Amino acid sequence: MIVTDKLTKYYGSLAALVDLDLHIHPGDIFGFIGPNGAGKTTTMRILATLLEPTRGSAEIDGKDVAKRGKDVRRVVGYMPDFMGVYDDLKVFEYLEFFAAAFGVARSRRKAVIDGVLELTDLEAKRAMQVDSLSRGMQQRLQLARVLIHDPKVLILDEPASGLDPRARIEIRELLRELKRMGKTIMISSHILSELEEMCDHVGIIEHGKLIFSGTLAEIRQRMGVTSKVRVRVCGDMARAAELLSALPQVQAVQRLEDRLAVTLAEDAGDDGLIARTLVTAGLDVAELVPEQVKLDDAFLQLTKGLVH
Amino acid sequence: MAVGVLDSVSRLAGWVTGPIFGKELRVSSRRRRNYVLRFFYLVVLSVFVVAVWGSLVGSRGGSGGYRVYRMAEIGKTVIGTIVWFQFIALQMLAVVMLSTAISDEVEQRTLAVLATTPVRTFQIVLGKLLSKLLQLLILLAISLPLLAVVRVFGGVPWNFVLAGVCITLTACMVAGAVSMFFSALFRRAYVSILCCMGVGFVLYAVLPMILGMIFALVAIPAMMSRGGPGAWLQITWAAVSLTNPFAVLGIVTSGLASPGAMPFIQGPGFWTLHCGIMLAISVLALWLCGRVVRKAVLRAAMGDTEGSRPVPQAAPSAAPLPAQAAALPAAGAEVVLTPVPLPVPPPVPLPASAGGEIRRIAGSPVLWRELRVPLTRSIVKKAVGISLPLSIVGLTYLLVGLAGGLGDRHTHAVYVSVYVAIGMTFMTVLPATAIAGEKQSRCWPLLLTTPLSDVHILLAKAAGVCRRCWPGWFLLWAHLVVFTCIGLIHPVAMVHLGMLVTGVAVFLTGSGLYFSARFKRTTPAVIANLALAALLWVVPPTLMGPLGIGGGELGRLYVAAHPLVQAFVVSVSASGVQNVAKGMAHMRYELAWGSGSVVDATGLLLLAMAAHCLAGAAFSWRALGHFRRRVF
Repeated sequence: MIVTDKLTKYYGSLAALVDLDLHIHPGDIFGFIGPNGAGKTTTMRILATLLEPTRGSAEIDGKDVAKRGKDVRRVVGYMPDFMGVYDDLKVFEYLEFFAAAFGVARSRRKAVIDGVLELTDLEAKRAMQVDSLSRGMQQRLQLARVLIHDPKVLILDEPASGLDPRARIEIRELLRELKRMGKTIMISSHILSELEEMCDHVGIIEHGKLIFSGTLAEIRQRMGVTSKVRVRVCGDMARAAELLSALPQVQAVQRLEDRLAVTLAEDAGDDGLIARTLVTAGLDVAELVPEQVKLDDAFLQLTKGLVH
Repeated sequence: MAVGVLDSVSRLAGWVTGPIFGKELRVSSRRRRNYVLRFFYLVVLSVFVVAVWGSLVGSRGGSGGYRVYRMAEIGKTVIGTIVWFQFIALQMLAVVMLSTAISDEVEQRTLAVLATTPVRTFQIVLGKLLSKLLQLLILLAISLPLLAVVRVFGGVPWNFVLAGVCITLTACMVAGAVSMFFSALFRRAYVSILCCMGVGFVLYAVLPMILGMIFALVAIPAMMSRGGPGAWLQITWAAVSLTNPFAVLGIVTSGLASPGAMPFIQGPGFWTLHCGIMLAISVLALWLCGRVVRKAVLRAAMGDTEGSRPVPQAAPSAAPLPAQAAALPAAGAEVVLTPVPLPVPPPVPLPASAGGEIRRIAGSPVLWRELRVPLTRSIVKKAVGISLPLSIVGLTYLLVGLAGGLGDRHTHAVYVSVYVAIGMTFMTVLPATAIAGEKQSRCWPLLLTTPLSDVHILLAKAAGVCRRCWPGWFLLWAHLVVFTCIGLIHPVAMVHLGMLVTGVAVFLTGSGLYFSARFKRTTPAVIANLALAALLWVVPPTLMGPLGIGGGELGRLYVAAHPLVQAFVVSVSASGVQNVAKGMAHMRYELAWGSGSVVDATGLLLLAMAAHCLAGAAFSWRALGHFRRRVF
């Protein structure tokens, strides 16, 4: 659905993007991660036809963003990292303004607006002035605006920034719902745990270069570690450590205060191995907590903290 | 001892101006535009002085003594030119520089930060004003070498220079304080600039004119019958003269040309008194400004960054998504949402402003918004904006009517010229805000991500500009319609002025949209369009006399194409009892190359309109080229 080929953007002599190659499949939620100034927003602005690339190309739904900008705009809903609101319009008028701008037929506009207002829970605010809404409400309004023309692709630049935890959870649920509706979503965020919960694929960008793109499983694979397990047994901890160390699927066992940290090899496969081994040896397992590699860890390990 | 006094003075000055003064100086010293401004100020002043000098020393001959005397006279004229240039330019710069003083702090949310510090309101106000005045003082100082050069030729009256500098500085203080007052009231700098221009126009032009009329109507007959005008009129007249820096500088300048003609008012006592009064006015304006700023600080501290008007607080964003929300009707597929496992807070009642009429959009959305959005939502501003100008204008009509001047063609020519100038001012300012305003509110990128074509947006914006500018042209058309119906203006004047207004409107809309597309903020866009208008229609007439090109082909062509000249000529020839009675076939128009018929005037106006429209279209085309540049 979204393909970029050697996408490059220079601001004067500053390279904001260098040979970016992205492939986002239809129906995916793609998380775009990177430190501040890494080039995420520039990429999204190019895809939203607001910037022209210096070199390379980008296609959305098979249409080149530089050459067929108008066609691309029909299938893309872009939510920038700032809130642009007309201070002299009401919520319904604001949404109808963009519905008309996107060519939604007048006879269908009310139904469409009612739908997005309901979806974003803004029905009660329909007659309020846009500029009198709180930040969270304005963020929802932006999401409603993005959905107004039923785009195939959503490009969301930090949609949850500045929101309280409840609003963030709501946005996350809404995005999951949009995925179920078949939308392709490209989202950038600094809250990596949130992306981890909803993204199929992630791309990590730093200093204008894509340093990783793939699924979370592929990240783990690349980092050479699949998972860790924390184990607490009732009884002889030393024996338990000895038993687990002897297993070929275990890379290392570390003795902590009252439990063991077991690092599994990449191809450990059998999830029940540890519990089975301990129970068979007559040890009671009090706790067994799998600990997967977090996106935050991957981000820290893969990036060097370089910013423009 | 001296060191101690200096230290105390320095500490007192530091306390009065607060940290804002230092911060402003530091920031302005890092801004390239201040150095560019100084450079261009000096260049324009030099060109101005050279032009005046060149025109004055053109004629040679005469005895040596005569030439020395003449050089001294030329020196005085050049000094007068420099002082007047500084007087006008520095007041304009003071207005522009301080038009963003408070609104920028509100927009950048630094006023709320200031509110959390012990900085006092008067320190904010004084710090801002004095730092900008220092910039203006630098501009005054860099022109000193020019004065020194002129001194070589003799005849520099330093007392006149001193008077000019003092009058200029106090006038700048008042203009700056008024500009800062409006910047605390309005979010947009161009609104502050326009309001300042309006206040200046009323105080320095309309008020003296009205008082002059009253003087002519009341005092002169009183003088005739009772042997002298009423004391109150004399006091009022003196007060208006003393509070009008243009009048005072004019009087001081007249003392330069013919010293001793009016010993009291040309002496230092008069202008010193004026400067004292102006200082008192600026203190009053600063006090008012301080009160408005204090309110703005409180609003900012409470989280309202709108600056100009209270914003109703919205209900908190606590309501969760509905458990079962309907799918988008346009999506086509039936979708069932997953319930969100969050506790549902109690519903929050909506504020009173939540209701109200929702207007439906028909046709082009951009055009709809441009045409339907109210000029202002504030009823008070609407009431003041309508009633105040109408009252002032009505009063002038009443006085002119009482004086029996409504039948005079020159009266209508003056009214029409003033109204055309007001309309042109609106047309210069508002188009320059059309796109830059959207950029400033960050809606421009959203509009550009819709499938609307750039040409469509441009045309809709142009239509919106015409709609917003109608109050600027209202007085002109009201005057024409009323006096045409009464029979004091011939209907052909409406046709001619229609052509004139169309050409000027298209040109200024095009140039305004161009600057609006080029700049990210409204203020530089408005200033650029104002500068263009001044360069086209204000600076050349000022220079034409001294340069002596007014009588040549180029000068005649320029005069013929000048909208205000055209407005005056058209209205003076087609108004008044005698002209209307003569009929269209016998009307004579004083055109730049001589007297012409109505056909000649129509041809000239058509030509000017076509040229203006072409230039406006060219600007619009260039604006399209900048639509998608510097979007962010």
